[in-house]
Amino acid sequence: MKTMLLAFCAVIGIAVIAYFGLHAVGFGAAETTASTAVRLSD
Amino acid sequence: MIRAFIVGLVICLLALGARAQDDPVPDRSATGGAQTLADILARQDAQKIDDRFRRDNIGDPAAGDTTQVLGTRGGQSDPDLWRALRYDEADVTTQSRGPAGDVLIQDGGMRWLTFRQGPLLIYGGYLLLGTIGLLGLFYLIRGRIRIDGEKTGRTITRFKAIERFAHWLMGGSFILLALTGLLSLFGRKFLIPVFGHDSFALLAVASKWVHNNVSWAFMIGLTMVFFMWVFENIPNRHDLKWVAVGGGLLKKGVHPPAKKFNAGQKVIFWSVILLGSSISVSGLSLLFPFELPMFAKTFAHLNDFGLPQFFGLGDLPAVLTPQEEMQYAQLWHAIVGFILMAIIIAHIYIGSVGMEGAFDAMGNGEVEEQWAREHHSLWVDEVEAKRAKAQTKAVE
Repeated sequence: MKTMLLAFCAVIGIAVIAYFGLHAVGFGAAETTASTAVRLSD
Repeated sequence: MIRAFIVGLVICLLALGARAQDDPVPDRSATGGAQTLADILARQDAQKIDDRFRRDNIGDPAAGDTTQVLGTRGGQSDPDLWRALRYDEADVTTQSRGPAGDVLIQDGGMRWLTFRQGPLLIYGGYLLLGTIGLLGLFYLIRGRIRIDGEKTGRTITRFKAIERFAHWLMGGSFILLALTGLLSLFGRKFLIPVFGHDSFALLAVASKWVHNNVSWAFMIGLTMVFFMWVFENIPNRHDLKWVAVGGGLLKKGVHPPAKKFNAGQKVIFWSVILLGSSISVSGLSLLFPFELPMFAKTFAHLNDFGLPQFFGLGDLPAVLTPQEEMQYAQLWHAIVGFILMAIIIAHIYIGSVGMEGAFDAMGNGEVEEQWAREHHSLWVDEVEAKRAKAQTKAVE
C-alpha cells in the first residue's frame, strides 16, 4: 500500500512540475499565441 | 431465379446512373447566379448543398490595376471578398501568431458542438452506466469469485515495487483524468443547473488544471508499464484455452492454465496501451493547440486506403482548418476515453470486489499461493522452478 500512496504523491508532484515547468519554458497559451507586439508582463 | 436477380440489379444500377445524370443544377438566373431562396431554405434545413457556386466565386485580386489612386481593388468586389473570408480563401494578415490566427470563419464549430452535446454525451453516458449495470448484474448472478481450494498461508511475490508504482501512477492519474474529463463534458448540462454558473466556473477551472497537468503522470506510467510487461503480454496458445472456458470466471471450480498474465489481463493490457496511447496523442494535440494537427493527414490516408468509402461515408475531409483539427482531436479524445473508461471499470471490478485475493497483487505485491495456482498455474510453476534452481545453485 505504501507504493500505491507513493505513486499517488508522484502524480501530484509530476502535475505541479509540469505546470511550472511548461510555463517556465514558454509553453503557456499566452506566450505561444500572442504577437510580439503584445506586452504579457508588467 | 438468378437471371431475375441479375436483371433486377442491372435495372437498379441503370436507375442510379440515370438519377446521377439527372441531378438538376438549380436555375439561379433570377438572382444573377447568387443564392436563391431555395438554397437558403435548404441550408437552414441542414441539407447538404453543392455550394461551389459561392465557394469558387471569390473574384481574382490580381486581375485589375490597383496601383492607381482611387483605383479599383482589382478583380475582387466586396461580396467576392466576403465570400473569400467565409470560405477561408482570403489572404488575411493578422498580428496574432499561430496557424489559427488568420482563419476568420470556419463552419466546423456547430457540427462539433452538436455532436459533443448530443451523441457523445448520450452514448458515452449509456456506455458507462451500461458497463456498471452489467457488472452489478454479474455480481448478483456469480457473486464474488472466491479462492476454491484451501488457502496455504504462503504467499508469492507477484509484482515488484517498481511495477506497482508504475501501475498506480497510471491508474491514479487515469481516475483523476476520467473524473475531470467527465466533469468538463457533462458539467455544462448537469452541474450548472445544480450549482449555478459561478460555482461551476471554479470547478471547471480546477478540473481543467488537473486534467492538463496530471496527464503527464499518466503518460509516464503508460510508458513504464509498456516496457515492463510487454513481453509477458504477447499472446500464446494458452490464451485460446483460457478464452474457451471464459477464464473460469463464469463457473466455480474451472481454472484454465495461464502464465503471468492470462488472456483477460492481456486484453486489458493491450487496450490500455493502444487506447491510452491514442488518448495521449490526441491529448497532446489539445495541450499544444494547433501545433500537432493529425486528422487531415489521417483522413487523407484513410481515403487513399478506401476505408471510409467502403463504409459508404464518402471521402473524409482531407483539408481542415486548424480549429477543425482541434474539434476532431477533442471528439476522438473523448470517444476513446469513454471506451477505455468502460474497460477500466471492469478491470477495477475484477481487481477488487469481483475476485477474492486479486487486490493483493497490486496492494502489497504478495498473493496467496492457492490464488496464484488457480489463476496463474503456469506462472507459479515457473516461479517455483526458478526458486529450486537458485537453491540448487546455493547448495553447490
